[in-house]
Amino acid sequence: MERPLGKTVLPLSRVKKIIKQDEDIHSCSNASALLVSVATEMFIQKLADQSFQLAKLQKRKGIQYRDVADVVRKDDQFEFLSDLFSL
Amino acid sequence: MNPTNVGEHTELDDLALPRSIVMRLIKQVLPQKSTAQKEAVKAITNSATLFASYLTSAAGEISSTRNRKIVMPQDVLSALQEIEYPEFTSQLEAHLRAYEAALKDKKLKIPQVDED
Repeated sequence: MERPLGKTVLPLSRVKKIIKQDEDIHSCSNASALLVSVATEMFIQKLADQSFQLAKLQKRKGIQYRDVADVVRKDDQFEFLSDLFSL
Repeated sequence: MNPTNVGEHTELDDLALPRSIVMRLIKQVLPQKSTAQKEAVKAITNSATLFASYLTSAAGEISSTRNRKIVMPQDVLSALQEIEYPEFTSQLEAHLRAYEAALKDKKLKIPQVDED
């Protein structure tokens, strides 16, 4: 996915708010916040793409909640999300 | 936290990334005419917030083992290996180089550390 380098499309103020929730973090450079933001963009696209692959296997064109939940269940890379999807 | 309880306000909602931007990012990786159900978008949005804090926490730990109080970009890059997202590293390094070059170009003052 081509995006202008050195920039993020997510609101950096919101990302910084997420960073500040972490009580172990004293402070974070602006460049670090930018990297967290861009990594989060990439993460969104990775999770969406993998969810879509599952939808496609079911011959659907739309991603459904269960596709996302199935990706999280099946792929170790998303294991940190398992609490969010435990029903 | 149960993301299917759409009516319920959770702490994740306060830290949610804007739906419109998340939707745009999702659409960029989907073929045309593909869609994402509302609950799916919400699940991805919540997951993104958790990812950001997961990465932050790993970066924070790395910076303290390096005896630093400020989380630096190198800590974030190392954290990606730690949390098993090494495939993001090279693109992030390119972003970092571009960001630093732009700072130099603009002769901006010392990069501020976390305003407010």
